Amino acid sequence: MLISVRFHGRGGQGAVTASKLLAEVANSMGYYSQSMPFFGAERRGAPVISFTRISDEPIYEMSQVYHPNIVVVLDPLIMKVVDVFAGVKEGGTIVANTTKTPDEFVFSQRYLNIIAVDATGIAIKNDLLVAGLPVVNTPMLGALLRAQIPLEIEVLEGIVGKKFGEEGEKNVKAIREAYDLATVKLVRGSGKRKYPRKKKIKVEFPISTPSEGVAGKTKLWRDFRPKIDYEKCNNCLNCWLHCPESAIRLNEHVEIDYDYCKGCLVCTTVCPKKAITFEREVFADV
Amino acid sequence: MKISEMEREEYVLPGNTSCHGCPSTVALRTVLKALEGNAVLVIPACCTSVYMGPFPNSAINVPVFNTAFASAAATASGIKASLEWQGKDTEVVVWAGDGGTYDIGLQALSGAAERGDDILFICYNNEMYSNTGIQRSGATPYGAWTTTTWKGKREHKKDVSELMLAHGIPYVATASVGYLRDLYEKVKRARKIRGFRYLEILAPCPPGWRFPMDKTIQMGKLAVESGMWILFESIEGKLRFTGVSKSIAEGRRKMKDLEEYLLSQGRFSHLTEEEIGEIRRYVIKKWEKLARLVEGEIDAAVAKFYV
Repeated sequence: MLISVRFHGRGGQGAVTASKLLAEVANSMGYYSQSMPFFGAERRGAPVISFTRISDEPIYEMSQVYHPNIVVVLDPLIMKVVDVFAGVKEGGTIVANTTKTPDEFVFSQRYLNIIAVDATGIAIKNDLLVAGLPVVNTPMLGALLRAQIPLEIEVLEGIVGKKFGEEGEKNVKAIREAYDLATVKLVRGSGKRKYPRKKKIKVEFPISTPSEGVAGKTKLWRDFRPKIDYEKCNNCLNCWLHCPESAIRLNEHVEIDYDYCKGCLVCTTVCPKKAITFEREVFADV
Repeated sequence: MKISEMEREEYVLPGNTSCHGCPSTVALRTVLKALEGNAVLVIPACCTSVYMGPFPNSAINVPVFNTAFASAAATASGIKASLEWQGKDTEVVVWAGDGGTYDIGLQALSGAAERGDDILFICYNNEMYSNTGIQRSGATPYGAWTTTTWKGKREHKKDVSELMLAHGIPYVATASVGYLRDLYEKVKRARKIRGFRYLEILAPCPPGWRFPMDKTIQMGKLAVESGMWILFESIEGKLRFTGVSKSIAEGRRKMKDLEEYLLSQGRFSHLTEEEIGEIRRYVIKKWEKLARLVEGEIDAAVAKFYV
């Protein structure tokens, strides 16, 4: 069982708090839950989204909710700005703060449960105002619990009562009122939902493999050709250690790999026996 | 450590796109040899991410993760956490230039050091942004010419190795491309220590510093011999000088004159007497500061260091 809920509201209505409260209720009833807000430019009145997931198993999904079972619309007018039905699963639930009846909703799914409640009216009636604005999150949660969701209203009331202190009592009353007043109805939609066809994109993780000569045979960079005088060489390996190009190979004795030597001549300066000399490089074949 | 006892396998493959006499390849070779290839490299934007070659080939024979400038240490923390979870004892090495350490990568570096993540952060410091065509960085010393400091930089460099000492991490060391055996041993020692380790390698860059390409190793030696670059190692908070710097600090060896180091590089060729005096004062101050940190073992009198 995985229930994912999306909250639509406007900054200041308490959508984020509502999503957190819902997660907390689920958690205290022994379910796994998570809650996260989607942050845009935060200001009062701006459209706000928040998400909650509830499951009886650990939740590893950490993304936004794109296909919710339940959508809670805290603001009656936000439907004109945001497509609140987007991605809602067939037979899902819309909990709307509205004065309309469930039958007046138009959507492209075949069937949706519509829970309509006048949460703004309930908030005003119960004096749930912050800076003059009705805060509808708690009554909306009360209405939400009428949906097919295994959470109990008593637990919500307990948590809200404890959490909000003096305001708790008013909120609990509003929750109960919304729970009782909400109208639930299975509504038929147009069913003309468009499913965008998924493009198949082949994704390959770019992994390079180690190989010699990523820049080709770098001998062509060479102006000077170092040369080891093996009579003087005592195989001290200083040239091998200091070669910036790894172009000195260790076989029986040190050998310069003339395919890759760039001719920087570091080897000539580090040789304690002065056994490496250099001459002008002239390529016969280039 | 004898050279003949060193790891023979090559981890930086020939035919890469590094410049002639590149100090980064030679240092990286040595570091990976010391780690015996048991390493994951995390490389922010720097010369190494270029000379390792374009997709689908890589000139580095260990796994490499190329990451953004600012996030090298943070990326390494994540990779280490994953390797620990898989039960693998692979060293996660950040191989960053001084831009990715001193300037842009500093916050991630400091964060990882503070968390004590088990990674080895290596800064190969060529004291400028060479890859983008020689711009000044926080590591560029006073007086040095770059394309953004035409008349010589007016500020002294900041010292991130001292900053890392202040973080109280278990291992901080400096090395120079001039002393590869010393570098090899330091990496070996760092490998045995758990926790955040910081190693800084002076990498004299022939095109950037304006000196002949065959003098890379000599320049790395000269920087130490003239006192401009100080080799030290701090294990569990116990600081000591190493190599030539130790001989200088103990008075067994006289420092070479700073002018010999400065004037052999094109980037310092315009310096006036006054400016050289300013660099000299800075160097002496740094020696005194470090000598005070190395308690008891040596005498911090200034006169002993200088010719």
